Amino acid sequence: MKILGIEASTQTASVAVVEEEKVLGEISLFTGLTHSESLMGLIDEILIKTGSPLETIGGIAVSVGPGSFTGVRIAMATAMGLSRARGIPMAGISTLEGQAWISADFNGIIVPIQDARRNQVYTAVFKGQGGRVLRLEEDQTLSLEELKGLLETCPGPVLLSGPDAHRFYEFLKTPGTQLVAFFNQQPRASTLARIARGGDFSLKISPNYVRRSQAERAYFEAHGVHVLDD
Amino acid sequence: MEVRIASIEETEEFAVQLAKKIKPGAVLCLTGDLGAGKTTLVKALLKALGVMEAVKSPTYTLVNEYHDPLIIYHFDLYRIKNPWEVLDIGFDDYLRPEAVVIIEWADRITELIPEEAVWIRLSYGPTEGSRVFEVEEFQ
Repeated sequence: MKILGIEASTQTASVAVVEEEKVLGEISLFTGLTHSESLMGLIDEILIKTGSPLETIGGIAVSVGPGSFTGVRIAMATAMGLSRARGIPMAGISTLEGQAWISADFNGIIVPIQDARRNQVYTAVFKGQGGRVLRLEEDQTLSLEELKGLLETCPGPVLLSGPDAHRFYEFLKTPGTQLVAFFNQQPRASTLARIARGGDFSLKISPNYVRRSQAERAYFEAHGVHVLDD
Repeated sequence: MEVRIASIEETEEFAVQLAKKIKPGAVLCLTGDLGAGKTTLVKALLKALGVMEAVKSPTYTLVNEYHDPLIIYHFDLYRIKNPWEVLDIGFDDYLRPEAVVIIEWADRITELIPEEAVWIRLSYGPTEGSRVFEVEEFQ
């Protein structure tokens, strides 16, 4: 089955077509956040170049966040439009999980990081073992201090990955941490497609913006500020 | 720094001086009551920055974009009830190093404004048509 992968949660816009274990093609652009302008063109290009007209696509793997609200929405709206038009089911994949799988050959704890501004990061904890990645913690928003505390409790080697890890590395590093290689920093649509292969597809998906912690939301609600849910 | 403005012409002169200090990446926050002159100041500032397009108030659109000669995002958050609403429209994505961001009613979302933003508080002056601008120092 051919799977179209779409990733636009960060500065990178990435699309790919994956068939079984093979990546037929992938295009990634790191030129900025104008995904609304570039994404459909990239999808068109990758479908043509890999000889995959939309009728041959059996599933769409799309990133549902965390990341830029706008980027997540553009990718999901595009996926939903294609899905609706052709009845192609979708798989919503976490951006952070995609980032962890890029480093699947690492044996140890993998912690992907994305800047969430205001001294916070989107992050999760995974474990790499024998070429596979297992999730240990849900996608969440943590302050840099909280993440540092978490990293200090991680046993064994820890890989900090994701497009923003290098910016926070000096602050976060502990004796056991390593920084992802720069060519593995950016998210890839092919990874999303590969992750999707193992799971369920559906005609309905939801975003996961991974907003503030429950405690913060409760604080806002208690002060009469209505917090929207997605 | 307090600036006393006696007329619209003086607002325009102030805007010309202010424009010289505005570079991509700048975030300018304007606060003050309805009618205090925030939009008037922004119009003058955009003109001083070289924007030729007509400048309208973003009260209903929330944000207006300009691309020539600079990338400028002009917000009016009067209709915003809480900071979450603004995150919902992808506010964080507008704070780009290539862009100039100008926010009227920025006090609606103080907790989301970056530290390096410059705040200007506008209020009515002692005489008819006059205003007082309190400007935080630029770094």
